[in-house]
Amino acid sequence: MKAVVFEKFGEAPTIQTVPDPKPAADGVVIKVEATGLCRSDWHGWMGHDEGITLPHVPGHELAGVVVAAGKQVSRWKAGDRVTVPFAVGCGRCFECNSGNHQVCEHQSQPGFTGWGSFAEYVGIEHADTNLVRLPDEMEFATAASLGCRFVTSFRAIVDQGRVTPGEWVAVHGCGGVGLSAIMIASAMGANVIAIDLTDEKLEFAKKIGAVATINASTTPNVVKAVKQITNGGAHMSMDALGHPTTVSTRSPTCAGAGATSRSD
Amino acid sequence: MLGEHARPQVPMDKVIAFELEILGSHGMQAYRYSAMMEMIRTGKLKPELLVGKRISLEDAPAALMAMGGFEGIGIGVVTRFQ
Repeated sequence: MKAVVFEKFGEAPTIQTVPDPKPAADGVVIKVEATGLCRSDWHGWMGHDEGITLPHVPGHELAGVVVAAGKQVSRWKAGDRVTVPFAVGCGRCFECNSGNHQVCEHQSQPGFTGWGSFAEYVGIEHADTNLVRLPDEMEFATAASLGCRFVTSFRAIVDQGRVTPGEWVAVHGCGGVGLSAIMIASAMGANVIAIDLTDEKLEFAKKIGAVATINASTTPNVVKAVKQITNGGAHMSMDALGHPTTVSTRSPTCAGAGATSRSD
Repeated sequence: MLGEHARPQVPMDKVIAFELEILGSHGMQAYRYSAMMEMIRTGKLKPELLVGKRISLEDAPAALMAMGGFEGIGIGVVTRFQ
């Protein structure tokens, strides 16, 4: 199969022909139909992520069609349209048994702990625990975009942040995580402030649900601006950038009873 | 948050004084996808609006190396593999 391979951290990856993956006994091989470009892949390529062994194939936001399943797989067969969370749980450890596969003690991550989806095919283990069936009407490109950023934001807003209608949510950064969070928090009935450095992204943030925006490149005091808009402070503030500046400006924007959620 | 940004300073005085909570999110369990999928199926969430440029696998190495800078609007996706 064709795959994007890098031999050394920080050196240009190339397209190479490499052996096709074979399914593990409890795993599947997926023909990749779409795979997202994520900054986490860039970090992996730069050597920031422990656990990557070289040579390596990146890619962890994927959707495709099952082409082969191992003997122990009972829920999936060739032809199934699927996606998978980037953190693949073992299904057996304490965290998985408590329902927290996203922090599995023995998790694998395509494109990090093993070869990923910047390739024609990718192997995923523990398929019965981790595969997700795609609705018939969902495009592969949309499904691939869910795997890391959209689900991370869904969990941050819904399960971790426990956002309720009418609450103020400040989202710092309007990349993939931030825009996903704005859309999800708005759908949950929250009032969302989008914060970014470019007006173009802030305009888009408004289109998908933000009720207020702050351009941090032209606003001297972002914390003060958030407090003014919200009459005191946001109930939840989300760092969707992952930069020390957003951590230090973020926390004090919360009202007393707030939750600060961060991703990535 | 990785590399030089992995360990930012956190104003713990504010966390204590205002009883703030700091929470992480590390993706989502497969079994929890159904709630999100139903919100997508019924049109309450429209992730397709967040899909940005579509590129080929041949273009992926250059796109990967450029991810250190700020990307354009939306999520870039490789959709052509031949």
